[in-house]
Amino acid sequence: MRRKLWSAAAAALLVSAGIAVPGPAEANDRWEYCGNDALVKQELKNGTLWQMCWRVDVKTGLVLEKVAFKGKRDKLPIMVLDSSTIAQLNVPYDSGFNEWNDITSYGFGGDFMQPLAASDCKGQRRGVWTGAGQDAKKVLCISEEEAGLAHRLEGETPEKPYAKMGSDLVLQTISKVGWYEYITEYRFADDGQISVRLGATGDLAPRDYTTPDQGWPIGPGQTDYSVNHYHSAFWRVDFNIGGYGTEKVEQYDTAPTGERGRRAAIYSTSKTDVATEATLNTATRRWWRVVSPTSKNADGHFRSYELELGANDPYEAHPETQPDVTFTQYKPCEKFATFNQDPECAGTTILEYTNGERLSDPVMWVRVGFHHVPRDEDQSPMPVHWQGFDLVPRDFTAQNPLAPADRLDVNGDGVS
Amino acid sequence: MEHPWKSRAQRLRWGLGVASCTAVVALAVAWIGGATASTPHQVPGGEAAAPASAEAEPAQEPAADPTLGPAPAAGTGRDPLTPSELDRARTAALAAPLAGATDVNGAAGPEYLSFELVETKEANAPRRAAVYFYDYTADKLVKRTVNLKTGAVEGTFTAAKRQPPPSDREVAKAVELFLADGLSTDFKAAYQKATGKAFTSPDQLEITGTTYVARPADTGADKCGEHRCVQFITRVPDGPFIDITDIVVDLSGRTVARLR
Repeated sequence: MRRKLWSAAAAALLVSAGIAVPGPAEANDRWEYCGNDALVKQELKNGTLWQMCWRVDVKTGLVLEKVAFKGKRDKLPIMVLDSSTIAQLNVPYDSGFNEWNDITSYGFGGDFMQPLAASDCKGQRRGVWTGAGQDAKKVLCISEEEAGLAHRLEGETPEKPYAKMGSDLVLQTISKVGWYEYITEYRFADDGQISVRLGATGDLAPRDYTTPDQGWPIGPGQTDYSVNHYHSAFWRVDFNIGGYGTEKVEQYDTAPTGERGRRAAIYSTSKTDVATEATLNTATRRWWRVVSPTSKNADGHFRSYELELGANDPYEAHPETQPDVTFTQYKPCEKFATFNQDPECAGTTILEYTNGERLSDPVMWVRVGFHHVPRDEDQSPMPVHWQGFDLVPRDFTAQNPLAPADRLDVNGDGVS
Repeated sequence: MEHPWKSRAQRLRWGLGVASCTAVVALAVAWIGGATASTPHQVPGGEAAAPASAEAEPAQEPAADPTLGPAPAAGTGRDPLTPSELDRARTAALAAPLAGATDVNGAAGPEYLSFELVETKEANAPRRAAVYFYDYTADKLVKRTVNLKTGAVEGTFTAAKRQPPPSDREVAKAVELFLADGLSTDFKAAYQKATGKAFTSPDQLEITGTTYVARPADTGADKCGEHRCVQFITRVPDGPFIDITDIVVDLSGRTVARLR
């Protein structure tokens, strides 16, 4: 049943893209992306369906591949991501005393990945084989979580607004590295948004106490200054929009023109094509999107996903942790943002990967740093603190995928 | 290989090597030995039938958890590597000679580190495994890719200055070198102070090993990076951490150093 769905998905892409030339994913519509144990396929209560393959890599931990979205009005799932993994987690202490690379020196998989108890997970737990393949350790939690108000619009009567409560499909694994316990989380919303986050809990570093300018007093009085530190994380995201890949990268900037209109300042938005490999940084009102040159929505607009960065503390002490986002040409052996460990590739950091190649199949490296100044409440256990980013659909569907039927005639300037 | 602390592997977090290494050793037997019971694979996405597993679940267990049956001999598409596939890949990767390579104990043959499913975008590509080794003679990381359909080694790639997480054997060796070195005196005293007991065996600790690569400004173990080096996070089981993160064991050079 599921396999038929996958192959049918490819056919649907042809229809939805409105073209006859098969894309890479359609070339062989009998390809099975993964077996049942590795497949996550879940329809959320508002009718949105997400499906993907998951597995655990010894270094990067949770790996998601072939992530596809199906809105309630889509006939079949439409591919969004080819893969996503964490690609480094650098933990330097402000005291200069230690600096850890939790992905490339320890790893999030193997014995570092924690078995989940029922109390860790409100949803379904999935296992991985251990030992001889007869025993399983439950490591993945799959749950549907309430997300609050998805949209609201005044209706015909005050009692009947167009209002809908949203929900997310949430995937989590937990990796314990030293005293920290890291939550790898993906949150797939019913409106198509994907939130990628790393949570840190467990305990503060034991015995790493320092001076007032490098820490915060968390014991009685003014003696035990727990050291301030960074969790500087990278993710590697490879899109596969509509199953065609070969996306383009665009940067958008909005700036005041210096002129005024009737009542307000005039702002102008401009697009810059990121056509070759580049390390990039945020600026006010700047954003990026990865857009398919092939796959279109029903309005005839090319499907894309936009990167939204939130709170983000760059660790400027290393050149390679300075760029907020880096786009490089796809190479399977470029796996880690720093300390790359695949001998097949000459480069070992994103700075070396970025060497002027034209982007015909872009990989997005997102760096999100969290500078942690400990507080009394961090003992113990430490409340989870989060860092991450959102991938927001832009023109993936022609209208709000959760829209009620009687709002479908609202599309564009004129109401038909 | 069979270190006396190995039986405590569940307590000791030796790093990444434990699960994979153990899997390789044990699985051939398990498969031949009759993983024939056809536990039906459960339907994902909350459509699972009630698990027919013998696993004893606590009362609050959600009934929807699917039971993972015995690992199949081979996976499909982007499935994780099965223990059987890993075994075949590792055997094939080791069978191809690597001239002069030695392991962490100085014995012939490279040190096995880890494996991964090779990434591909080709729809019909055969599944491939990459197997990683460290060659202590050349101080190089070796990656061998194995076609799981044909069993052939298709590529060998080597590079210096690449230091993936240590295997359990490497951590065990590093602990041995550390405990035999004069720099462990402070640690033994700290253990005595923390527990009231003398430190006589690594069994008394949970040890996590991590690779150490010297940054240009680091002093004390400057060769690390070029050499394969290990640091430790040590904890008394269910007790305090004993901080020896200033200690670095250079496995290539067989030296123990204290970072300054």
